[in-house]
Amino acid sequence: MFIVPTHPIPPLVRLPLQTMLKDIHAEINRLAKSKGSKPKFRKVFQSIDKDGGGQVDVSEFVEALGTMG
Amino acid sequence: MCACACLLPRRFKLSVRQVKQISLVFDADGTGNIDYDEFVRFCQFKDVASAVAASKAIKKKKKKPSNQVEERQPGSAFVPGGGGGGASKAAPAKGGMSFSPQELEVSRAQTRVFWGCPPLLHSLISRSLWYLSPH
Repeated sequence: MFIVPTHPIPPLVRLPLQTMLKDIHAEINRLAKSKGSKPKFRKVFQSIDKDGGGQVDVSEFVEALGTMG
Repeated sequence: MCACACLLPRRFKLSVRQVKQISLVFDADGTGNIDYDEFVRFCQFKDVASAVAASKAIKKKKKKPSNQVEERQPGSAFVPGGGGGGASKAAPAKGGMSFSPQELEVSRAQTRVFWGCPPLLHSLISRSLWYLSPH
């Protein structure tokens, strides 16, 4: 028996750097957005910084990019 | 343009080079890690182009050499006493060789004398310097 996916799987696309940066920028701002107050960048940063060291290293950064896309 | 295109989630296909490029835009001070200030700096810009430009400007500021010994190229004109004369502020370089101001001044004087000579004298000096050098 075959499992037929109901939703089409989007293809993997290679985007130009500017487009990708724009998307990342928009996504971070969307996540940080809060009602009636300043955007909570700290919350987003802490969710990326898994080990809580106060700095995001390359592996954490790649993981965050993966969850965004 | 099809309206349903925006409903589909877009999946990124990132190469190592692209990840590096993106992380470099975030990492303005070039430490290899992104700290909170850099993260916020990138996010607070209205558009990406200005964020990238700001990041590049910070990197340029950081890259300015502090204690580079000014050396004259063989083809260029010699200006006696010119080009980097005076007291120099020699800050110790990170992870590289550092010189005291006196050493730098001696080195500059030697360079000036060396490149300012005619070819025959030039070769004599270079030979004698080679014999004098500890090897």
